[in-house]
Amino acid sequence: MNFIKIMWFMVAKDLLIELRTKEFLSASLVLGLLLVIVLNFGMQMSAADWIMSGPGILWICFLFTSVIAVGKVFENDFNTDALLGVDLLGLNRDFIFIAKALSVFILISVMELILIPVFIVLLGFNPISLFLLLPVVLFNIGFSLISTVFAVVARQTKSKDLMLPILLLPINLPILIAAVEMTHIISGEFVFTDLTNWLVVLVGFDLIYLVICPWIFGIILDE
Amino acid sequence: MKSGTKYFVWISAVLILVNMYLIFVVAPPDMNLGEVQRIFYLHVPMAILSFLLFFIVAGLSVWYLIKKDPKIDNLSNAFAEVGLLCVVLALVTGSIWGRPVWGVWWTWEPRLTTTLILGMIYVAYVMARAYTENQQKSAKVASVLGIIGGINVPIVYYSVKLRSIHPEGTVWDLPSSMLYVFLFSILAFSVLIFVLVRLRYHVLETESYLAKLELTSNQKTLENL
Amino acid sequence: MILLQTVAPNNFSFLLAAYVISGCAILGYFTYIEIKRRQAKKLIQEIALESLKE
Repeated sequence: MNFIKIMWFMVAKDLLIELRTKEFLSASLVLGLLLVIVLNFGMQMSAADWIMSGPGILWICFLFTSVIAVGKVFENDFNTDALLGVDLLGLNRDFIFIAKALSVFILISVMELILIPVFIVLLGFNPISLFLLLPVVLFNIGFSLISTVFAVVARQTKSKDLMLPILLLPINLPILIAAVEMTHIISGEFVFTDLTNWLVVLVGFDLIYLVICPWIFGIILDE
Repeated sequence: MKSGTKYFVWISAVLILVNMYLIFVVAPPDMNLGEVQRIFYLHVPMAILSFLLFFIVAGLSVWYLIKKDPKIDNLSNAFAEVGLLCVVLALVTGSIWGRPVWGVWWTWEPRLTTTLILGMIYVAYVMARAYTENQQKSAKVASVLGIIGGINVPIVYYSVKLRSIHPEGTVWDLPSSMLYVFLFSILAFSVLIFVLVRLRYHVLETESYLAKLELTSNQKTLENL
Repeated sequence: MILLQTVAPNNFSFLLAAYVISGCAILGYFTYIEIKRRQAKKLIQEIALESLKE
């Protein structure tokens, strides 16, 4: 029972910090809005184009703010070597991994839940349906798994803030593509079978990295 | 340079010269595309090699994480650098070929897109190594990127292919005269690439050895104080 | 590339460009390895000399 308590403390700590300061959520709201505005002025698009690219813009904003979320979640831990401390306590590294990944997952899920209504208004497309949960949850799972590993990896480099996006963006492309395409399909008339291909990509990605990431995390946590 | 390697360098040079002769003199010009088609003998082997080399990097990365032997890491580094060269050349020659043939320098077709992403992952790999201080850390960073990058490339290819409605690019049914030149080209470039990898690996090993010497000499100076 | 088009707008220039660029890149990389190798060799010789002096 001990390890569950420690994991709970780790996740609760990250969430409490966010709850009290609301740094990340407010910043991501502002950043999301700014991105949409910048894209609006940067790209000359007709109303029809705008609707076509709605899902893409949505997910681009989600991806960029999620990358910031990862930096935020790990910032404190790296400054205080907290992960090393928990590791020395004897907690199995898989559980440390799960706790950090869970923190990232919860943070980005809340961020997305807040931003989706805003974007629906701004971008003029409507993907609201229960099916929207599929790309959102699956993307979040995949992203949390990968980014937890890469946060530790980026820490080894000299400029972690620069390297983290450079490492994360290409690696998350498959789930980004799948999420955008699924959201696009969900926004219109669709049959469930339209989604199956992309579901395979998302679920496959998540399953593969569910196995690999804890293993890699365990090996590279020595500092 | 070790004598064995020098031998391979000369073999590689000869193979490339023979290859050039075959490409420019022996191979017939294509019916539809004309002379430009000869780029194909350079572009396709480079593309194949760039993917092959990355999968080798991925495999070496797994091996490194298990064994933690710095030699494996140096080998992986050598393959990655040469692989980066290959993927850049593949993209550049492909683009040069595309301009007269398709009329555009670039298109977001599945294979091109995947090759571009592979290139980005190679660049991230080399950058991550450059931005990390010592061998141990950079080995860890690089091997994680190697493994996850290696797994991702097929997934990206599948995803991009799903997305595009257009059918695949040209499928070549090569007449045998072209086929032989093509196969020889793959052979010649593979030998060249492996020679470059070997040379780079030797230099990296020497540099690791130097770094180790520096560490031990620093230790000795500290002890003498 | 635009220059290539205005100077020699036939396909052969593209063919030549591709091979020349690739050749230069490969030779450039080979030179880079050689430079690194000579630097490392010089350092090793320096260290060997220093240890002989001691």
